[in-house]
Amino acid sequence: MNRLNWEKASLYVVLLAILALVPVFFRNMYQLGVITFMLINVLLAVSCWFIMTTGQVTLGHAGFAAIGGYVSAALIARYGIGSWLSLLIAMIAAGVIAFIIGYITLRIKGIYFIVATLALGEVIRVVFGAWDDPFGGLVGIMNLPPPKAITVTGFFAVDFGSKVSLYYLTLVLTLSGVIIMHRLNRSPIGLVFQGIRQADDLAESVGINLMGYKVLAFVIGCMFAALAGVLYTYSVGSIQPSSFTLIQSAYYLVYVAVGGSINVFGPILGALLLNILSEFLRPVKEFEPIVFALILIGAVLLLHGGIIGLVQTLWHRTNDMAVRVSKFVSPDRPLKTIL
Amino acid sequence: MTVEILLQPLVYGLQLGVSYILLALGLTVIFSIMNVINLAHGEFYMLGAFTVFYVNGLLKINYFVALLMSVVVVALIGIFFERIFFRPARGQVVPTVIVGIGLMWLLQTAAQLIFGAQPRGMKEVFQGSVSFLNINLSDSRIVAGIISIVLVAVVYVFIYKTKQGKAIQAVAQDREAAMALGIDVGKVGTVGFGLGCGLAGAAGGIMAPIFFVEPTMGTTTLIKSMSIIILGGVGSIPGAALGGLILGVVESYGQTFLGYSATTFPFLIILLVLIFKRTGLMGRAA
Repeated sequence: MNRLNWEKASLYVVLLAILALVPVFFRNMYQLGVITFMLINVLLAVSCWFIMTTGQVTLGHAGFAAIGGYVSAALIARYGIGSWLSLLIAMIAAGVIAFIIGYITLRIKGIYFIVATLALGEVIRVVFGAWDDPFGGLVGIMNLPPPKAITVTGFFAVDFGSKVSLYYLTLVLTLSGVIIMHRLNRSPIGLVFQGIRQADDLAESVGINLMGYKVLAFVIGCMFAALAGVLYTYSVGSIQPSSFTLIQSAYYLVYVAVGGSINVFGPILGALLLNILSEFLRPVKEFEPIVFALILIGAVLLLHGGIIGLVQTLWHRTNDMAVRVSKFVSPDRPLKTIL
Repeated sequence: MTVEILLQPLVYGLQLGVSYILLALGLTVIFSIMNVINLAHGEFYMLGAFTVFYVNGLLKINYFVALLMSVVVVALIGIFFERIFFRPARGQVVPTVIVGIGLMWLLQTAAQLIFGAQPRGMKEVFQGSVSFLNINLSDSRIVAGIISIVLVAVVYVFIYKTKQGKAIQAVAQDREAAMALGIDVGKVGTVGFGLGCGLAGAAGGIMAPIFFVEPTMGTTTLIKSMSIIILGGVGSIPGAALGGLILGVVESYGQTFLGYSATTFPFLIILLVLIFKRTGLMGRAA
């Protein structure tokens, strides 16, 4: 397990190189902006999935993205606090709110939790829309400055005024978020989450603090949603309540449902594929929800475990075949697998 | 004078409330059978409203015929989608919720493409109004109230007095036991889903002459009906009736005295009830 797996490592290096070279291939600023949004959506999908690993499905995720975006935007625009400090404060604020709300609502289960979070997300949006100072009411906060440049005197300076540097900022923060949640999912804590999802009464009866773990997953997921909200306001430069509707929360759930939820690659794949599809559908924008709806329903009813589940099934099938072939060729040498 | 200011919203609220009961009844019947809240419920309401808008408003066919058509058309559409989308999800929570979201988008977008996105008003079917002790109520609202009460009574009789209705009750109480007793659970699902959607369609048809008709009208309707059944107790028919009246009155007073912030009432109801008394006012313990 801890042995360095060369195949896996080289795969990650190639992926990282591709991600790092994106601004070289996509010189068109519009396209780069779209790719930046995709990364933000990946972070939202993964954080939504992270909460789902405890078995609680949230439809209020956009509300927490709104909290992140609004807190940082208000701190920067109205109180002149630095962008990095405000990012941190925004995440902590979302974490505290998620802790309080989670402690109250996470004892609700199943469909009731879904409906409760749905209501919650909408309440958060309406509250921001009705709160004029410092959140600007229905108009929101406009003309935000780009994040402050990082300078290490005498060595280097990174200025975030351009789309390219914003892309790299989003890439680094999204990747760190995704990696943290992936590692947590693979850690003993992640196993506890899985146990709670599969049989919460059993988990409780062996002495697991059910509420504690559920709140933990909820707080972490919501903090990263807030981070995504901050990144969103950075790349748009403004924030309005209308960007955080129930439809947005539904989209994150769709990414997970289409991509699959067995591991972190499901939501990533779902978010990327559906965002790419959405770009292709841009000329026929008005048909997009119909196509999405059909893909969504098809994925849920026909593919158990989403795209990643399908890939795994196919992989195992070819692998089984390969194992059979290799045993036929040389019975003493088992086949090595990547996954 | 003050008495009228206080009573006028009450009368409006009660009228809204009886129509809300229809919506909530539909949602609660579907919940009883699928064990999941149908998120596309508001879209069936929208389809009912558009049916009346086209049949009565544009084709000039008698309003009551149009209303009957809205019930039948929407029930058939509902049965179709129950067959192809909801039944394969087999009552599992997350798949059914996601299918509901998908159907919501599908119907809403289709309506936008077919009917156009702009809100449209139709001519009031019944003109004139009744005034009593300085409280005004337009004839269309009175008719809407009466039709709603009649329909609620019909549904009540159907569910509590007929064989088919008792089968729905049985499936709602214990699906497997109902199966063991030889009840055709699939057929009950079809009937129940058709009934639920037909009620939403009726509510849409009743509201169409009073409010604007537009493809996105389903979303707020869904939230309202969810708040009603959660307030009354999910799966409880008397609860849906009580919840509908309460929401109608509360909302009516809220709009008179608070304005815009009254739109959060349904959300607050959902949150508060789920947090403090999950079974609602009349729901049975889960």
